[in-house]
Amino acid sequence: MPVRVGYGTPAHWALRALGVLVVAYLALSPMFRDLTPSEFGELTDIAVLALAALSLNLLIGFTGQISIGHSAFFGIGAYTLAILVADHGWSPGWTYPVAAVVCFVVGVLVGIPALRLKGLYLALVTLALAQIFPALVRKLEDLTGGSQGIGGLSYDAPGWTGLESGRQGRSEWMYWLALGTLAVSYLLVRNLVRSRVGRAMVAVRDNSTAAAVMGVHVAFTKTVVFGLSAALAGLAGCTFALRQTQTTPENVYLTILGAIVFLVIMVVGGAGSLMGPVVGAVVYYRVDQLSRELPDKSWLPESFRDFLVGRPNLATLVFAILLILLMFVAPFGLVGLAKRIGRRLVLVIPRAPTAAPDAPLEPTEVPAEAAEVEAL
Amino acid sequence: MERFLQYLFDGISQGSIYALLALGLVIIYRGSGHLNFAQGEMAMISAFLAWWYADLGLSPWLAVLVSAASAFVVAMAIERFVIRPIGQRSPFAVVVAAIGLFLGFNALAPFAWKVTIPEAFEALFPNKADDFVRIGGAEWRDQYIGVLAVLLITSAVLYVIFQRTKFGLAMRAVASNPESSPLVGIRTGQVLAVSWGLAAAVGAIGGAMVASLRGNVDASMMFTIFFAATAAATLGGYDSLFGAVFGGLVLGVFENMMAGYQPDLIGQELKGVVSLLVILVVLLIRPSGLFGSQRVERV
Repeated sequence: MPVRVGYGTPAHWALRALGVLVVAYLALSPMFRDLTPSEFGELTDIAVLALAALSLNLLIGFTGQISIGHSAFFGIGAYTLAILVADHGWSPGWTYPVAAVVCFVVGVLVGIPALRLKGLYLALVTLALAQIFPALVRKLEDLTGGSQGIGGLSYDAPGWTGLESGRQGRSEWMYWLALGTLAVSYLLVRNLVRSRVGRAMVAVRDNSTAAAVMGVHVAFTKTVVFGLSAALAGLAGCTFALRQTQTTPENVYLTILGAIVFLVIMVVGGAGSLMGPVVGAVVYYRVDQLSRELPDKSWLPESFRDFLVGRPNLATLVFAILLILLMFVAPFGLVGLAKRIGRRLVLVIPRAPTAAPDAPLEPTEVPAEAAEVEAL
Repeated sequence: MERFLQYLFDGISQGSIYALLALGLVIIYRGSGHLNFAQGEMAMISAFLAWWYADLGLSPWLAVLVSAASAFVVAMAIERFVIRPIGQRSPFAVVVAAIGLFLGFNALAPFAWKVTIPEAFEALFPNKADDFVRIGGAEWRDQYIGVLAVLLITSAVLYVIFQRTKFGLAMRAVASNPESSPLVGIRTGQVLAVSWGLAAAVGAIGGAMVASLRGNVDASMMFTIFFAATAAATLGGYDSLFGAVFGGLVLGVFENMMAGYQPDLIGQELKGVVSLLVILVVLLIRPSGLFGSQRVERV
């Protein structure tokens, strides 16, 4: 029998505050620990992947539009930063808004023909986009440096941060930058999803015909959300370019496999849940890392280690199987699964709906079944 | 004129491969309305199977046929045990599962056979320097003619299956009205499983053709081709088998002409842009494609 907690009661606020504190501690704890630059680098990568997956979640999880081409927007963001920094001498910080706007515009332009229509057309167009982006980069050699790419990107910690200069300070600054972009994007998505536009998005996802009948401008909503999603993916690409100190079309995250990795992270974490992409990114990154180290682990049987030698992609294979299994047991990913388990322990009873001021006030009772659906 | 014919011949052979992949996409889409994103990777893994069978001692053509048969069985199992149960949940889940298959097959090839560099694949057609027919000054290489012949034979076999057999009739019935066909005694599940099997077998033949033309097998060999095949199927219409063949050939020729006559603007590198433009134009003007049927949705 789960513990019942009323929405908005002190107990409920305490639970929420606890959740926020745990997340904040996990995100900010690097401040108190002595991490090496490469450890900060790993955390930066996780934050970048989380932001890329968050951008997809806005589009897929909340609006039901499937993109298999977010690697292209990730790449456009990375290249916008690289070109402005390397060729025009901009400070990297100022390129972020430019990259977001460029990605938004490209997203809207590409989305217009595909988003008018129902079905998988957006998936087709974005697949095409992911496929031609690296080719386009190689072709536009004057602008992008072709296959060589653009190198020498770095962002020293500004003086006001008080971080030391050099590699240590730079890697710490990269992490705070990635975390900051992620946090701002998270809040943006959270507020958007809870607003009028957010309700329109969910309506489009669940039944676009019904949404249109209720007065939602379906094509407009889809196009704007696609543009926003592209912009967030572009921001992730910016930090990624700085972290790599270069951009090349060979990089796997700029190809279609990158787009699929973002999708895997989003789905494994939890489509349509705000924390899903973050959880997914941590799990994906750590499992991938572990799988690379497996052949050297002494606790594994000798025969299994011998089997693994010379066989790449173990993690990819595991995630492919996990993706399919999740569709059977937990379509809403790890966070969805955690919520389902959490609901057995703590049940949040939503506030009873209040009547309009001039209507006679009557005590309303929320049926237990309805409460179960609404909880969390 | 000579140049024109040369681009035409090269385009037709490239288009034949697009058509083989597009046929598989259409066969699956007609039955269930699912777009199989793993079609290209299934063809890739089948090509690896053909390479492996040939390595075990089968003659090259027999290896291709056995790999197509293996693909048929595996794809039927995938439909039955993965796609169908997931499809009852939501269409989105099917897309995710198909992407999982894409990723899984792509990772499986290097994992299973320990290959990280392309492995040599024995050519299925005569491929010496002088193996070509000269028409109007242009050279039509034997292997290119061979690929076209394989496409025509495959299409003919599919035509017979769909139009002249009872099972084909059942498949067409399911395509045109999935709700009513069980009422007249058609086993819809069986039909869908066989659709997946057929699509994978046709894809396996396509994969073997690609491997034969490239002279090797590689995990990333189908990326561009699969994406061009989606453009071909969009152009032809997602529920028309004839449209898939037509769309594939037209796209192949069009792409080659654009690349050939505009070497600076497009060239070999940006052939993909032509496919993207074809998809965008079709979606803007005629979303159901040239030969597809317009679908009316009831609310």
